[in-house]
Amino acid sequence: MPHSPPSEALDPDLEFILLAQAGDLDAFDTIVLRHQSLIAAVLHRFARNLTDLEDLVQETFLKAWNALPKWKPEKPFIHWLKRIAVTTGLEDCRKRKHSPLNTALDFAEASNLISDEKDAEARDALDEAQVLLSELPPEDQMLLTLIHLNGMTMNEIAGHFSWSRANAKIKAYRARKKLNKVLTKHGYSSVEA
Amino acid sequence: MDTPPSKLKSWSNLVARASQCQPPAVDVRFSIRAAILSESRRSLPAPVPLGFLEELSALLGLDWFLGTLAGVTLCAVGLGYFFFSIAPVLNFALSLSSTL
Repeated sequence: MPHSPPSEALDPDLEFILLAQAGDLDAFDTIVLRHQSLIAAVLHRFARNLTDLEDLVQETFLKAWNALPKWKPEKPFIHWLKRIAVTTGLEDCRKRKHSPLNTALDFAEASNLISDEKDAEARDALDEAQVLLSELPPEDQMLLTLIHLNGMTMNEIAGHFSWSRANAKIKAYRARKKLNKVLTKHGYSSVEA
Repeated sequence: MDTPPSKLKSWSNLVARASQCQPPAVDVRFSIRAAILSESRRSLPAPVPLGFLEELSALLGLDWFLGTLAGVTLCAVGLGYFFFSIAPVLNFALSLSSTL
C-alpha cells in the first residue's frame, strides 16, 4: 500500500525518496504514482503507440530506481527524473534509427493512443510531425521534439543537458537547418532557423 | 519540381495541432514492481555450498529437517549395529577377565 504524503518535508518527494533509497518498494510506488503522468507527458511525443509509451515510462522509472542511491537532495527530484526520461527517449530514437516512422503500420499502431475523437486530429498531426522528425539524427530529433512539441524553452533545454544557453541555441539552429531540408522535401514551408 | 509557395503545408500549424495531443493515462506501478523484483532476484548471490546432510537431503528430495533426521537415524542404526556386532566379543572378553 502506498504511504500517505508527508506533511512537513520541504520537497514533497524527499521522505519517499529516502525510504526508496533504503529499498522500500511501497515508497517507490508512491513516487511512480505521483509522477507517471508527467513522465508520460514528456515521453508520449517520442512514442509510436501506447505499448511503446508504457515501455518508455517503465524504463525511465527502472533507471531511476537503479540510480536512486546517486540522487542528492540538492537537486530537485522531478528535474532529475525528467532528465532520465529524456535520455530514455533519446536512446529509443537511436534504437529506432534504422526503422523510421514512415509506414502505414506505424500510423495504425499509433491510433492506439487516441483517447477520443477530439484528440484524433491532434494525434494525426503528432504522427506526421514524428514522421518528419524521424528523418533527422536522433539527437536533433530529440532536441526539436523537446522545443517544438514539448514546448521547452532554450533555458530549460540548456539546464536539462547541462549545456550553456549559447551551446543550446547553436545545436537548435543546426537541427532546424536539417529539419528545413526534410520539410522542403515533404512540401512544407521552412521553419525559421 | 518545387512546390509553389501557396501549396506549401505549414510546419508551425502542424506543430500547433500536434501540441494539443494529450498523453494517454498510463499506470506502470505493477509492471515496475515486477521488473524490480525480478531484477533483484537475478542479482542474488550464488547459493552457499551445501553440507553433507543438506546434500543428502537434496539428493533424496527432502527438506533440511527431514534430511538431518534421516542422517541422525542412520547414525543411530549404525552405532547400534556396531555395538551389537561387538557384543559377543565384549562378552567373551568380560568372561575371560573374570575367569582369570
